[in-house]
Amino acid sequence: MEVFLKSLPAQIANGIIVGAIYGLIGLSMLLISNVMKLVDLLRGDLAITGAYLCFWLSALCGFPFAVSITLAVPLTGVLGLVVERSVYRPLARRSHYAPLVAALGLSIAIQGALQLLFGPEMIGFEQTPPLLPKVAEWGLIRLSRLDVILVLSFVLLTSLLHYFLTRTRLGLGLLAVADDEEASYSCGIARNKVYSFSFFVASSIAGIVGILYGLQYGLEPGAGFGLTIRAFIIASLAGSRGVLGAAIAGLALGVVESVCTGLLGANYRDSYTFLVLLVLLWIWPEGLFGRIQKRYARI
Amino acid sequence: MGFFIHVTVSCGLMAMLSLGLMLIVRSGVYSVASAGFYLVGAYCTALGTLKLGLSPGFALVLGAVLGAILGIFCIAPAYRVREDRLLILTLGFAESLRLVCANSRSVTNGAMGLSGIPHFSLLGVNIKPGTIAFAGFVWLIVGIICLLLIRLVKSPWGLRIDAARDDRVAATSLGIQVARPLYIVHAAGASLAAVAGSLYAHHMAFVSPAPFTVVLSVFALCALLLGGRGSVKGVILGAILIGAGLPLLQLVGTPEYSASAIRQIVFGVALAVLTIWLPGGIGGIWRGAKSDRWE
Amino acid sequence: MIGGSSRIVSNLVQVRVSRICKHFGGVVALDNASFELFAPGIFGFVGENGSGKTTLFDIVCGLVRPDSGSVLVNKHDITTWSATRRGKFGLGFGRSFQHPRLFASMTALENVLVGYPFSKGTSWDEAILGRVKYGEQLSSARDVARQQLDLLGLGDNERSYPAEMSFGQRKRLEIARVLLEQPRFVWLDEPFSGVEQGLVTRLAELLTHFSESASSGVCIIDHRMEVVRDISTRLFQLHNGKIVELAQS
Repeated sequence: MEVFLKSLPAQIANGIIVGAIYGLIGLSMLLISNVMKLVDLLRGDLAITGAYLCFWLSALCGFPFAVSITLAVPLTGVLGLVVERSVYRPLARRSHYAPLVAALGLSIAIQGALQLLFGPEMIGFEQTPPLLPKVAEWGLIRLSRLDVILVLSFVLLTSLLHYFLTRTRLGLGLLAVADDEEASYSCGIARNKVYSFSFFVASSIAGIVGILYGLQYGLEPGAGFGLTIRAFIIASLAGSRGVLGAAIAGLALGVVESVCTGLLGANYRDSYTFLVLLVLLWIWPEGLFGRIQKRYARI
Repeated sequence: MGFFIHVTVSCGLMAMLSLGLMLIVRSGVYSVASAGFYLVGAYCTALGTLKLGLSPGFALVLGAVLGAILGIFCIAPAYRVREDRLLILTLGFAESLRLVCANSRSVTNGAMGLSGIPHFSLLGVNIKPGTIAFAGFVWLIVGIICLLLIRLVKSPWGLRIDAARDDRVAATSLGIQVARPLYIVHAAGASLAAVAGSLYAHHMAFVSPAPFTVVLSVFALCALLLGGRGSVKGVILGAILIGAGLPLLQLVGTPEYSASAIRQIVFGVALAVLTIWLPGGIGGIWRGAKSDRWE
Repeated sequence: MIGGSSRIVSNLVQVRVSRICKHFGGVVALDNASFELFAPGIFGFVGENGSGKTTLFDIVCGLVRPDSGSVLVNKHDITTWSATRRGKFGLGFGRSFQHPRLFASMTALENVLVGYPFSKGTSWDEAILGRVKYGEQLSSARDVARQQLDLLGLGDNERSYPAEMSFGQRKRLEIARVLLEQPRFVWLDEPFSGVEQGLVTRLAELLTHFSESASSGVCIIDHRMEVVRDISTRLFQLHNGKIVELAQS
């Protein structure tokens, strides 16, 4: 117990760092789910694909790291756009499960493809410039340059997104579609364009998340799944509270996970996430869009 | 010969999974929890025979019962959960089951698994894995399940399940219960998966949590949709295609992990393509399905 | 139509709705709405669009919970009963909706068949074991369903799917389905809207005949007074969330 308490600050710090990643991927999911009313099961896989793309560009094609990132992020956005056009748009109209089932199929296909292309083992990015050396140290907390970059990116992206959504014309259009699709249609907001745009932005953010995740924890083909689940949890918790809600939820989830891991052992890490997921679904069924009221009572 | 039997058993077990899923999907839930119940049956048999000294037949029945209970437990919150979250609910449930088995090292030996599972025996007759008798036994059970399923779906009960799936509100206004059939259907589907799991444990004589992932559930779902949700013959065909996929790929000479990766790619894409263009699957083509018709 | 003799209970049924209040957000849909009905008979509910007629039916049928008030059937308080319980075969309420709720994956015949009061084969054990038991019932049920379709002018559409049918046809199909089980009280939401002109009178006759032969109370919502006035034995008007009975001349 004493050991645990001593390491608690470090656990919390770790939690915040990993929570930053979760918060961002949660934001990505939230954008999609609020605007398109769709749970996107490909978030995590898109993120990891973006990361692998960056890896391929930098490590295997020899581009400088900065260039790789600049190329990989928008490319991930485009990839998301392709998915939206070819899979989600025709299916979302049809039924509530069709896009999910198709996404599930694509998810495992992508994992298989990544495994085929890059091998099943975990790979690490070559880090240029070196990001591991520690920058600060308090007691048992050790922060590396990467950790700082992570948290800063999180704060930066979150604020940018918030500003964009509430202050720019395009962003407000997005919020309008999220709020009431038919009304915004009659206001002249081109719904399809909004869909495409939000998918692009969300997928680009996912790409950034993937790269940061890969830098911090290493890449393996199956990593997307865990990210998707966490994105779902956070988007659900955030609900109508939007960007701020997702940010807080992400940090909270990260800290909870980290502390539990410290308390009960790292093997159980994923178990806690699933526990949270199940508890969430059991006691909080209103879902991502709490404002939509069901017309009929529980039948 | 041994390889042929392995493929046959593989297809048979996948058929059991998919047939169980058929009922569940018919009630409107696209469940990816099959692997979880598969695991329950397998571990029930493994722990039952190895640590509790139960007879294989008894362990199988116990697994089926446990599967049914967990199936009800899994779907219990479905009432309050919005439809698009049901899939994630089943996913979370199955993964939780797998993680429980993977992490309880003292009970289940964790990731290392349990080996040395005895042969399956029924009423004193030993049915050894790797024999034609075993493969025949597996397919006998598949046949029985098919007969039962056909009866279920063509009955008034089946009609009411279809109605509840299509429009819950209209069904309740006609006095049709929506909740209870949902539980029954899920218990049945989960039970069948657990039975398949028990037979799997005997077939491999070894269980570990590794194969019981979401991917396996997705394959079962893919087999179902490939063959056609409403057609029993189609589902069997789909199961054969997928069940035989991996062993045949391995024959072609690619190394182990590539074969499974290729299978994932092929059937993952197939699932997406099916959902978009061919929701009725092969069975739908046979019946000349019209759009919207639930085949 | 199935003969009235299949009904076991044929005494008078009373429905009493008292002081129902319901609001959605800031909008008051029903404000101490009350009325009392005895089956058989045809009862019209008129009022402008948005006056709460559909909400009233929703509450009576159990699909929406009222904020306060009660629904009584033969002095039994059914306010807390679920919609399924209220719709239960043989004693219940039947309902049709403003936008017809049909089962999209079934043909017209099968849609109607769902409304058939099967006595066997309705639980899973019977379904598995009793193919013989429900087999005969199934074929006679199909015949009855066919007759029902003919009665509502849908005889040619037996094998059509709802997606292929016009709005008026779908409305009639829904009515065919709900009348098949001969519920005690039928709550029809705008049954005449969208129905082809020549068929309106036929439908009206059908409903009148049904209420007599099945001793059933048929409650009809419509916003057009003329249509409903002719066939109703009693007429109610909704206005500002309250119900007023209008004198019938």
